[in-house]
Amino acid sequence: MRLFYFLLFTTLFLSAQNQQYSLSSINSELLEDADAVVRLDKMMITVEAYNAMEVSSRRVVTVLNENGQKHVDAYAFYDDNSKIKTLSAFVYNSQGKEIKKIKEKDFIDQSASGDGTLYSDSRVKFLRYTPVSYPYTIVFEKTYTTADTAFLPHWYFLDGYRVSTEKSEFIFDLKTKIPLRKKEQNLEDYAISVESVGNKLKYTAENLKAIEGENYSPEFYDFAPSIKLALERFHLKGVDGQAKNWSDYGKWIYNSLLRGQAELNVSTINGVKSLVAGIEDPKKKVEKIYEYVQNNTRYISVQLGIGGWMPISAEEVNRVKYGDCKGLTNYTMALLKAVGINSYYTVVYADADQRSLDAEFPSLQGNHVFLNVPLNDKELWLECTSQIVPADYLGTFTDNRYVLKVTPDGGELVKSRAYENKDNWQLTKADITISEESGVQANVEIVSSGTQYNQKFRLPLKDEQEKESHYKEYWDYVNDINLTKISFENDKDNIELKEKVSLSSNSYLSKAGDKVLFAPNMLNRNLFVPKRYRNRKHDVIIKRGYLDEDEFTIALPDDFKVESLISPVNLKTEFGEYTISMEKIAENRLIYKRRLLIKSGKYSKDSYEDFRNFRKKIARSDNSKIVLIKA
Amino acid sequence: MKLKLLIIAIMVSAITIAQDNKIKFGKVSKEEVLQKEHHLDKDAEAAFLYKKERLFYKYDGTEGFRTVRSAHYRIKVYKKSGLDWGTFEIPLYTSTSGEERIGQVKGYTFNDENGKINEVKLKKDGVFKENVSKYRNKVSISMPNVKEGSVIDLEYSITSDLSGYIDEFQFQYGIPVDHVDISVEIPEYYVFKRHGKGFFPIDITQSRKNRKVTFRYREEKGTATNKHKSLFSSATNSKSTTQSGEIEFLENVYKIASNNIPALKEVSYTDNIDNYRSAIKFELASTQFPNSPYKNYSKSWEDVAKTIYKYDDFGNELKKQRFYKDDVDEIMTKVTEPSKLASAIFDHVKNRMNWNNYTGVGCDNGLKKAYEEKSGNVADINLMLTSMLRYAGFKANPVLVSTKSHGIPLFPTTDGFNYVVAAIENADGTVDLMDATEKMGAVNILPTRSLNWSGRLVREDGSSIAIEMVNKKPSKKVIFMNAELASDGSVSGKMRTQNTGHIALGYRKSHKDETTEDIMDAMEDRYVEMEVDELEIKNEKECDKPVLESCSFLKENQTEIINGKIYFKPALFLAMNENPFKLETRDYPVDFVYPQSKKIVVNYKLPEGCQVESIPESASYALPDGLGSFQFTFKQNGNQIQFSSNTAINKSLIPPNYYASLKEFYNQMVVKHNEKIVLSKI
Repeated sequence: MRLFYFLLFTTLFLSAQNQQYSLSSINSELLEDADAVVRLDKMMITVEAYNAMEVSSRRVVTVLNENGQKHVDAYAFYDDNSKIKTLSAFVYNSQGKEIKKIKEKDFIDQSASGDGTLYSDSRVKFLRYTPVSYPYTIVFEKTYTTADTAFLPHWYFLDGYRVSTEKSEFIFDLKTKIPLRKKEQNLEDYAISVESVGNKLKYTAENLKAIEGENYSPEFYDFAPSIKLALERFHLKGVDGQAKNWSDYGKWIYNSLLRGQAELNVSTINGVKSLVAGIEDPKKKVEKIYEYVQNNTRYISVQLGIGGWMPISAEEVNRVKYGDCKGLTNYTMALLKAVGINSYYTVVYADADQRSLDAEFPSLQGNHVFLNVPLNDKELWLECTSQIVPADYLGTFTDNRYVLKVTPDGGELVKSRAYENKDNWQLTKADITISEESGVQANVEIVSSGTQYNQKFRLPLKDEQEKESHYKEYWDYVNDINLTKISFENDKDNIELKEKVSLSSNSYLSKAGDKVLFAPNMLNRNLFVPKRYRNRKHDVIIKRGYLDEDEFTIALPDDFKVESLISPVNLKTEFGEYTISMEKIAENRLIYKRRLLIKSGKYSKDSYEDFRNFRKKIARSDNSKIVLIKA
Repeated sequence: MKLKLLIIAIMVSAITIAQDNKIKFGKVSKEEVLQKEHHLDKDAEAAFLYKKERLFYKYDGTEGFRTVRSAHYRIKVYKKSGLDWGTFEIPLYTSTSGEERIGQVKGYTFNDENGKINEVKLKKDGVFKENVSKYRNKVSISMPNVKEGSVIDLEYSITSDLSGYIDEFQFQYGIPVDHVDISVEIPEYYVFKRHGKGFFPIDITQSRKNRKVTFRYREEKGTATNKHKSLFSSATNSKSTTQSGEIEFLENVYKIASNNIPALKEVSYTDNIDNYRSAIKFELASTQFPNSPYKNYSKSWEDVAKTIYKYDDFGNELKKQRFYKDDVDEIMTKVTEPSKLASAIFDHVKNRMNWNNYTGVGCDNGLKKAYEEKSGNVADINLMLTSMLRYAGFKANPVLVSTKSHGIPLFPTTDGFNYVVAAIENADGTVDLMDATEKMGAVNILPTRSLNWSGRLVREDGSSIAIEMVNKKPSKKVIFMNAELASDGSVSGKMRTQNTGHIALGYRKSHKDETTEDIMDAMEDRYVEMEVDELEIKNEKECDKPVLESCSFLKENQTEIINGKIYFKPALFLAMNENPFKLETRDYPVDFVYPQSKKIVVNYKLPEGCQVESIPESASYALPDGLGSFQFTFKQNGNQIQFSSNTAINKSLIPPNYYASLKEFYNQMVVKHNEKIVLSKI
């Protein structure tokens, strides 16, 4: 009797499970705009002590198509400090029937040194599964223990664009008395419940619809719901720490990771001193030392244990002349100190997205370090991993965002330098000569500064063929370009690049019966029109503005006559300004002037169409032509 | 004349010898350190001043023959972009049957310091060994003090248990190589064939010498041997007794030397740049050890095919039928027409099976397991297809292939093939090829990865024939458009596109997960300021038929109105605006992958009250030797205009000597496509 009951129970249980994972059980709202549905994402973190934590998770994902594959996320990192306790996966077909079981030993075990890292001691076990049909469901379970509590997992209820969440559950169980800080972000905009019993926190979200990505939108992590947690006492690869605000974090980094790493031997110190001997201006001294670092070191990334956070010593870098961002920044700091200049190791999220350290949530953040050098009249920023970036140039890598300056007195959260719209300037001047045979010859000079310098300063270092390719792609609307001269002046003091290019084309003008058409904007067309969204959902963000100014003089052959010039265009919008003018300055000599200003800023989602229209008008105008008649 | 030649020859060899003596590890010249740029290639970011490799066989009583490959690289860094040449990553093979071990890693970096040469030694902390995956270890070496102007000397040796395998000797890199010196010493017991490749010719001289090996070996209890654990020390085994012995044999010595090998740069539209890289490969042909039988290894492509066919995970797998019998029987009762049966079976395999992206000529899972799990590697899937086709009565056989990324094999070798497709030999002598790893593929429309060089069809009796893996039938795109111009400069109309062959395959692949809305959005995006409606796609899933796409469109701003006249390109938004070939010169063939043609026909309806003022002249243009052609024609009848443009590229691979013609061909096309039709008001 008992046995029978038992069997009956199991059968019921199994069929319940089948239904649970079948496609038909998904609310149809969750399938809209989705490549995958996270059926369940559950994580439970148990902190036993400041240096002992267990994380167990269960993740069930229904992958709807090939693009949804990236949301399976079935991997587990491990190293000397983190141990995987259990790891398994199950695959179910669209009816919810189990079709495969994957044990820990079937996961692929390999080194986790990614691109750009020469060596690291981190390893990863990951699942390689070829789907036999879509949709299918994968259940992935893992438990790991770690002594590292400095980075508690951040919890995102939505994984990213085009993936919905049926249920997301995050449980944090703090079994010690260490004070906990937390930041709940954007929870109010979503159906997320919070329970707090004693030292146990539980967050539950249900039925979060997928979000479609849009161009010119805020970053996903800025509007997605998330939880961030930090312990005031923590452990990281053998090093203990304590911090509750930015000042404390800075102090901890200084005392536990940097202190003692910036010593140099006497002969090196004397070497640096003689390097700047005779230089009075502190800024010039900094530039001299930065130049020395750039000419004598290179970037090599090796991440071992605490070495992932602690720089190798300045002495060590001095011996081998390489290091990662931490090593090279700390080394430069040590060299500057040797000549009496103070500078600060500064932690940042480095990428073109302009991601800030979360100012409201003091914790260990960032993926890169660079150097801040305060002088009397201004502060300088040095990117110590590059051999070619000018001193005090942040580019789009570290500009305009919150960064953490580490000082002996503690950390200081500051904003790095912003490049304003008009700083990002490009001036193109050209003399264009039209030939009898409808060809053109042009001598062009382009000056770029601000973030526009960033796009081009590597050009002079390229080989001849790469330069040829660059200009032929840059002016891809000019058919049959022949480049006759290319030269550069890279002014590192003013951070300006001047390009001088001479070119010709035998078929730039197009025939129209006995007339020819000539597009006066031959050298700086901006034809980009942002994608149309039938229903724009996010605000419009333009991260960086710029200013382009152009002036082309055009010489016509004697027997050519202009049928009519382009009428002036003058557009003023909240996103920027655009003006065009064309004039006859002498017999058979024309001048074409253009100015385009794009303003950075945040604009409402309703203005997206206006932005598109603005760009459309620019594209049209940049393409417009004049008619020439051969007498 | 003869005398002169002799003198030159002597001088050359004298110079070579002089260099040989001069280049010693750890001893660099001042000139090398002071060089500012490469003497032949001013753009070079770095160069191999010297590359020396010696491969020899080491004999050991317990281990037998093992190969030792010692290398000495001398690299000069000219520019900051060349700093990466101061970091080395050396992959090492590892498996249960044997492995490669690295040892004797030594290195120096030399720099000019105010006229004096400063040297810094590579220490242990610059060498990292890691286990990357099951079959691969990796040693990374980061040289100290590398900067602009540095000269790097690096030495190491790799000992390998795989004595029958010698890795390729490479002479050409992304940077120039000034001198290369290779010596390969092989005991007479091994017979290797040598194969060279690349545009830059390399010479080999061969000689023989006697070798006597007195060796000590250990008699051990048990079989455990202590392998090298550390990079810098060799291990010893203490629990053994030492004996000694002697062997005498001949050795073949190959010397390869060359100078001034130019850099090899990546370029677009190339099949596989490695096919053009100068290198020499030694391939094991046979072995004959004392007191052992002669053992032959692959020699001709026929032998290779036969050898592979005999693999358990190849030929044997083809015989397995039971697991699919019922399913194929069912297909055979439903589809009785023999011409449709093969496609039906092909479709069945395509639909059921999912490729795990692994290549290889041997099965991963085996047909039965693969069939049950519905996934497998290329051999699992295409051998299954072959087997089913045979079962259904077709003369079906597997074809061994080398994929594009695998390159063109230098010589007959089992490694030369890494892929397999299925073939049916028809009664009329034609062959139909099928590859079921591509769900959107069709008979004779194989994924481009397999369209490389020549494959080998292997029959059950072991006989084989070469199959050209080139698609001869052109893939076509035909677009018909009815366009109505409005006096405000906008254009509206209907467009119908027919894609065949590879173009259809590409279409199906890129749109497979897309809805018609997605496709319309993408079109609106591509053509800018266009509204697309009524999109209809036919035969999207019927891969053996052309894909048909039709839609209506409205495009503002397609024409230009200047002084009351309307100007527009005859092909409108379909016009070819850009020449894909922009660079002045090219050293490598252009790979179009398959012959292709494109036809655009536009019928115009002009706005009321307008008349044609001028239309461009018709034109035609042809590439030499029938490689391609294009025609550009107009028919005008009052206000009726019909425009058509026909382009054809008739070969899949076009040699570099035609590059200038090809560039001009596209240039002419762009010029013609940009000429305008002019309308004026009546």
